[in-house]
Amino acid sequence: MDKEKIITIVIGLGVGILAAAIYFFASSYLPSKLQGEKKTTFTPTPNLQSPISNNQLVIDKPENHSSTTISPITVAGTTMPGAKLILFANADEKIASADAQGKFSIDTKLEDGENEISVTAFDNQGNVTVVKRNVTLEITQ
Amino acid sequence: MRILVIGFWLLVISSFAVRSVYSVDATKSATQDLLDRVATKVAGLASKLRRVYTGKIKSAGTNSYVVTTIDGDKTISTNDVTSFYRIRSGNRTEVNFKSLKPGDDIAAIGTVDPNTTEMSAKQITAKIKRFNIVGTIKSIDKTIYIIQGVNGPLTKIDLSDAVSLKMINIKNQIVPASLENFKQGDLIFAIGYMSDPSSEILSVLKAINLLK
Repeated sequence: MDKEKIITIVIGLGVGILAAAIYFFASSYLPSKLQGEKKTTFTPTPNLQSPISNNQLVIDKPENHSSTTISPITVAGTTMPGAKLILFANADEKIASADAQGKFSIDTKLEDGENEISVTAFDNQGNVTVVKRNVTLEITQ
Repeated sequence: MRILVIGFWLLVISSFAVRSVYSVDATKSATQDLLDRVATKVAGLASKLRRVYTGKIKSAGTNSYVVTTIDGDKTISTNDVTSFYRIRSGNRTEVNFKSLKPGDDIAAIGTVDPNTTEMSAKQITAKIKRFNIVGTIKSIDKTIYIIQGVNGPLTKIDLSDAVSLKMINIKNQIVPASLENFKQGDLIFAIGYMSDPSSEILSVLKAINLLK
């Protein structure tokens, strides 16, 4: 084998290794957008949130027997669509209405220490539902 | 030709060198990512262990209380960093461990040992226990009202010392009210306290008539 053939083989090997190295480098570090969008598949999940029937009131937040360092806080939840709500707490009272989906969100002030927050919902039939939440306001200097 | 070959090999070597530098960075990034995840987990766990115990002090030890809560008796231990407050008439005073006695109503914030349910308290606040009631006025005797609770029992309430009486007007606004606006059959909401537990009458601090 003459010298030129050996050099050609070596060059070929070098180019191959270089191409492999560049490919490996690019696939590892180039942003995904440059590599093309990754295909994402979505598995449809059923809507687990059951519709609120009459005379029901669910408070999503705050959690019962929870604590916070912030006042006011937001009391949010779900009830009958359009229902009237009255929030009554140690340091506050508010009237609100649920929206067309039955969702509501009411801000209320807290006093230091333990606070009992009561939310009352009235439906069109005159039914009354009361849900209470106990929230403690931590004293911060 | 020789120069060309050397050039190619230099390219190959330099590309691997760059690759290895990035590998170090990748390792650092992975380590940081792991640390961040651990920190998030720890914060989440601490948040899960953070609890509030409310109830009456049943007994006091050298640095702990046994408190009767709705879930039974719980031990609340204190330490040098626990802060103590007493709230009276809306004013708070910083107190100490010995100031809180059996019979006091407290709210303790701290972390709970999931195995023993014992709390290590960060802050303990003592104040007179408030009760919320919602119900219909069954009868009235001067300032004493008997309320049929929405969720059950009859409760006697005294509105004579109420500092806030309110009602809802036709415009759906909360407005000041007087005792005359609280009539038999009305649905009311009241917050009060037991000034004398033996009398079983709730002294109301604030009440609202929920009927327009």
